[in-house]
Amino acid sequence: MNREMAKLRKDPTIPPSAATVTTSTATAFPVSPRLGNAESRANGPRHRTSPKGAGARAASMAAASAASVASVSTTNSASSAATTAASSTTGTTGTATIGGTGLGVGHSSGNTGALASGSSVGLRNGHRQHTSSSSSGMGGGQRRSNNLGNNNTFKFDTNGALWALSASPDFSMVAVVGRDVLKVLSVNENGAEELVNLKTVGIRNNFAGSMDVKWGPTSGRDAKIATIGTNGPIVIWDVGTHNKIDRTIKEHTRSVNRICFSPQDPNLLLSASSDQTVRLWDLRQRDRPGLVMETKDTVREVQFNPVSMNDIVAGYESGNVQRWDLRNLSTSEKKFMAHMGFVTSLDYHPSGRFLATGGRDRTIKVWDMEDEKKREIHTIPTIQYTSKVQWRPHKPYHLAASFKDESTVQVFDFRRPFVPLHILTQHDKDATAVLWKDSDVLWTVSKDKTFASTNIKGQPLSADLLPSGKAAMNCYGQLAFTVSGKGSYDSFEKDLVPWAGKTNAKSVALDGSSEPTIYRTRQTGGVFDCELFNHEAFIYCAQNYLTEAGNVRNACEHNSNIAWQANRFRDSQTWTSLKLFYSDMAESALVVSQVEAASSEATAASKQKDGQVPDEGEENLDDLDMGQSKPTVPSLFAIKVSDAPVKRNWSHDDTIRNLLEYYAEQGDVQMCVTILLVLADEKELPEFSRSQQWFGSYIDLLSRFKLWSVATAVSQACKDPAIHTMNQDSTTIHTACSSCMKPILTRAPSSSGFWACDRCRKVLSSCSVCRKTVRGIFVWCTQCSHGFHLQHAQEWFSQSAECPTGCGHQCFPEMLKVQQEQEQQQQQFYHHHQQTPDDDMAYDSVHYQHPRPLHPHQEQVSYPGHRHSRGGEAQEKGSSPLPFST
Amino acid sequence: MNQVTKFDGSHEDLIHDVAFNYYGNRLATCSSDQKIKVWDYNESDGIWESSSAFKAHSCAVLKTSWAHPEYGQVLASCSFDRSVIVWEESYHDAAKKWTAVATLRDGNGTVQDVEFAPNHLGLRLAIVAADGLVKIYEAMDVTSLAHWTMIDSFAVGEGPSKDEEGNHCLSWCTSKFTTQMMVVGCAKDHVAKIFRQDPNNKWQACEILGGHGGVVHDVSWAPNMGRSYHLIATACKDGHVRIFKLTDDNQGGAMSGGWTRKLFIVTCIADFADHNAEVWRVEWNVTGTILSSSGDDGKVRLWKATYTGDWKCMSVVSAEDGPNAFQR
Repeated sequence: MNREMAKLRKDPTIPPSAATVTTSTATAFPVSPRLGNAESRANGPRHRTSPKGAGARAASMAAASAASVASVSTTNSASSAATTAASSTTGTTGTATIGGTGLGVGHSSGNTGALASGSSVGLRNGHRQHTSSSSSGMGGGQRRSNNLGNNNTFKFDTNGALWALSASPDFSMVAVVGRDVLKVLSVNENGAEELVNLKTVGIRNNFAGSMDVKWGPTSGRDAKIATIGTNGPIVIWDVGTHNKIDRTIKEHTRSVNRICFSPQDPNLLLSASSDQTVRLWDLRQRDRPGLVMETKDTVREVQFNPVSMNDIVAGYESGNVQRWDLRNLSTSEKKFMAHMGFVTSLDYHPSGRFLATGGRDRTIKVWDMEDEKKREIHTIPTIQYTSKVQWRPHKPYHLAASFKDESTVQVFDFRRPFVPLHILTQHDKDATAVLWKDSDVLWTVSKDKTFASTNIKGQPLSADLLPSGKAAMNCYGQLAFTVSGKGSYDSFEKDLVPWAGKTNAKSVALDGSSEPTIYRTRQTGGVFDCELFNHEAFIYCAQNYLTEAGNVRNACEHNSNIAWQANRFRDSQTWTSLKLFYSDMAESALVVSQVEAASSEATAASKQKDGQVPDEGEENLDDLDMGQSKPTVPSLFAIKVSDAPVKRNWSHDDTIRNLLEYYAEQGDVQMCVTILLVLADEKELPEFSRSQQWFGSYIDLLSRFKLWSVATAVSQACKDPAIHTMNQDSTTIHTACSSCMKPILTRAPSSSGFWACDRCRKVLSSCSVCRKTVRGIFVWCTQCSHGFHLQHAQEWFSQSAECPTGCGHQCFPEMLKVQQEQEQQQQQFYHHHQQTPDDDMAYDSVHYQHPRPLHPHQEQVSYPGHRHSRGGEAQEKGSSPLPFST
Repeated sequence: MNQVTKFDGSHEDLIHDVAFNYYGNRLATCSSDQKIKVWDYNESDGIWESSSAFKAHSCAVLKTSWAHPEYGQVLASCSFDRSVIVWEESYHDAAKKWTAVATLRDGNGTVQDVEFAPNHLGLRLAIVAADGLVKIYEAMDVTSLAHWTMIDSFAVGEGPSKDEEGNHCLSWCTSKFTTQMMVVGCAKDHVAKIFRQDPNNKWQACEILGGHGGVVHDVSWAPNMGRSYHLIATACKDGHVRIFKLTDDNQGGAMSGGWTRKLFIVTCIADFADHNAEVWRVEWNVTGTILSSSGDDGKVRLWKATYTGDWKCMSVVSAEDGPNAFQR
């Protein structure tokens, strides 16, 4: 197999990157499977940091020492490394790692390809210090992990859910642990492979996994790993010389949650435990119990200050964070409530001054530990609470976090708290811990059993996935929009600008500069009226057009005037022409041409606005000189009218069809519907397949403008049953007596109808002012439920704010302050216009308390036709607040 | 009147969606700062006033949609945090307060779009998430809104898409007199598809709107208003705004009453690259006559058909100069 690989490296068909390795150094993949026998163990980590001996290693080091290596020599050294690797592999059969991952390379063509490209990339970057120092092992890529194509971006399957990781000081190895995983992996740019499996040793000591792992700051012969065994005690491993347990610390009476080595003194280890203590262990002194920092609180997290070695900080289950000075344990230096709910993670800023904490309250906060104030200086709200946070090296504002029950790992920039810089989706299941290898490469472990390395330089910025703007228009022709000049800027600053406005007083610069810079998005936006729709004309026409069929001539003339007054000259012209079509006698050509001339000029005036009506239209009308005007714009009917004298029996089918199609095309359903209604009685009127849509759309549009009465009239006037019965559709109003709550059954023979309650004989829906039964419009106070004639209510409440019944309710509190204008008074009440004036039925009041109280200004109710019942239950419960019946 | 209300500084990060309510007198904005703001139009002053602001999600809020006002003041919002939340406004001592009445969280991945169904279908909500599934929920009891039942679910493409592969989007056909239809943008497939209910009430893809050179960021189905055809606009990552016209395909058997897969003749009647940058959103006005599009070039463009049926850019609103720079 290794011979194949050697061939592969010589193969000219290897991807172009292989040919570009001329300036790079060659490194064989560092693999030295930890074996069961002592000999191979002697080749363990301690050699890793000071490589010597093996031929391949020498070859690779020779290559590494050359600043520039010709491609041929690179290939040679690589192949020799591979060849030696082959011999090495044959010499170390039966390794403990065999069968570990199933990710062996070279068995399938796909993996071989990945290996080839991975190798070439690795060669190119082989000058990295830690990699060359770790390139001691042999094996030429056995058990190499799956390279995802990007340098330093790969995944490695460990066959068990992972909870924590910790890297050796030179980042050539990483310890990964989980409930039943205790492994040390060797890692370089191209992948990872299993080096040691400590599980067998662990099982002999009654634990198969670990909650947390920390690699001591020493390397080589003295390398130590601390783990928290799943059975409780802290276990110190000696991995420098033998993979054996150096010491087991069992002093904690309850489970240990976190351990931390001192970055300065490799013998100092902190442990945070549920027994409410933090203990400091000196690993040199086996007999001495640790230093104890006791509180009345479970300790979740503990960490040394990276700069000041006597300074430690602990996070507690109560949400407290406490700083301790190891020289003086009697008092805590600084203690503050950091989170609601327990502190789940914390990390000291590399500067040693700031502390990031993640809490159960789903926030990450940054604290200035040198400031006496107990207030956070930055906050990031997160998707879930963090399981691990770590500051990014050399990027003072960046922090990586993994979350509880969350597969993504996110990298934040505190200058933009709401949009993570990157959202990494490498893992399929919950990511459990993060570790920066260097400022660009992030190592993560997950419950999906994998260890992943991600070069975030190749990752998309999450801000790029977010829409930068949106525009919306309402029926009044207003445009609401947000836009952002995103395209012309790169990276972080493309969306954000330093902002000179109101500064966030609690912000503190994390990068050492004296003044924090506040950033805001470049986005601007707003709402403004851009006259996209002439709603005033629409409303005026809707309210004033005659829609009754029967007298076409009158209606057309009236509507023509209305359209004219609304500055809709084209529509006015249409109506005039329609009048001519459907009048009993043909009008004189003079009239026609006059009308035409007038409207043509108006149209010409408005032409610029693309059919929109000019405001100066009214003046045009005054200035109009019939005799002088010339039709400059071909009007819709000019030819027809002038060609043939209009006669009653002349068929206008095509014209009407074209006319309506034209208006429909323009989205002007108002004209479509009004024309259809006015001409409804005309026998020649053709069928329009889409008249339903026109009616439906028009009624919908009227509803948007709250023109309920017009909408009702239109719906009533329409002969199409689907439209005509729209108002009756599932509109059921159940009424009951306001004093005894007995339902009012008008159909019952013995019933007194709507006038009085059958049980208590009280008058229904009486006016609280005149005490008479109200017919027609009935208004009532939604709070105290007393009702009135509209007029009486207006009169009463122009004088007083209080209910006339003396119930004491301030029905109209505004009266106390100022005299309100008439229109505002009306808003205070629900009123309903009787649909058919001749209807003799009085309205019954329903005085249920609506389950969801309605605000007087809430416009959701008024129009019966648009309050369909859904499922009918609402109405059966009597929840409708509407004071009318159908 | 005609005052300009600016959003500047009202949100702490990008605003991703602005949505008018049915009457056009309320406006909801949602942002990456995890908040939703509701603005009310003050008719006497002609300005928009912020009436509520509330933290809605634990991640960026991507879209928001108003329910028809007959169900009360109800909003739905979707987010990167994989949930859809239905909000209802309530009044306590004259103070308006939005409360989450229901949280729909059974999706796998970011919920990328949410839209209430047209009113005639009842109180329904369609959502589409990164898992590539469109789900339609219906409120069981319009008086409480706490219980939403999933009544339909269908896959739009070949499996899930990661967020970085592009987003899904959807838009209902609001026409009352056709079968239920919607257009869905299919993330990594770089197409939009029209789905409609077959006679067995199963949602089936019936047309494909192709020709996109990238992810379809947004789709918008124009209000039909009784026109003989439908218009659908798409916003695409390739920088194009496209308008598709769907004409009834009478030969296809639509008239014979049987359900056919082929229903429309789809023609792309407009294709504009004016933005010259990623186009994020498109939306029609209420009459389906004006289309707005917004893109990374920092401009909003308004499109309108001329009398000859050609679509033209009628105006450009630019970010650099603010709303005052509106040019006709």
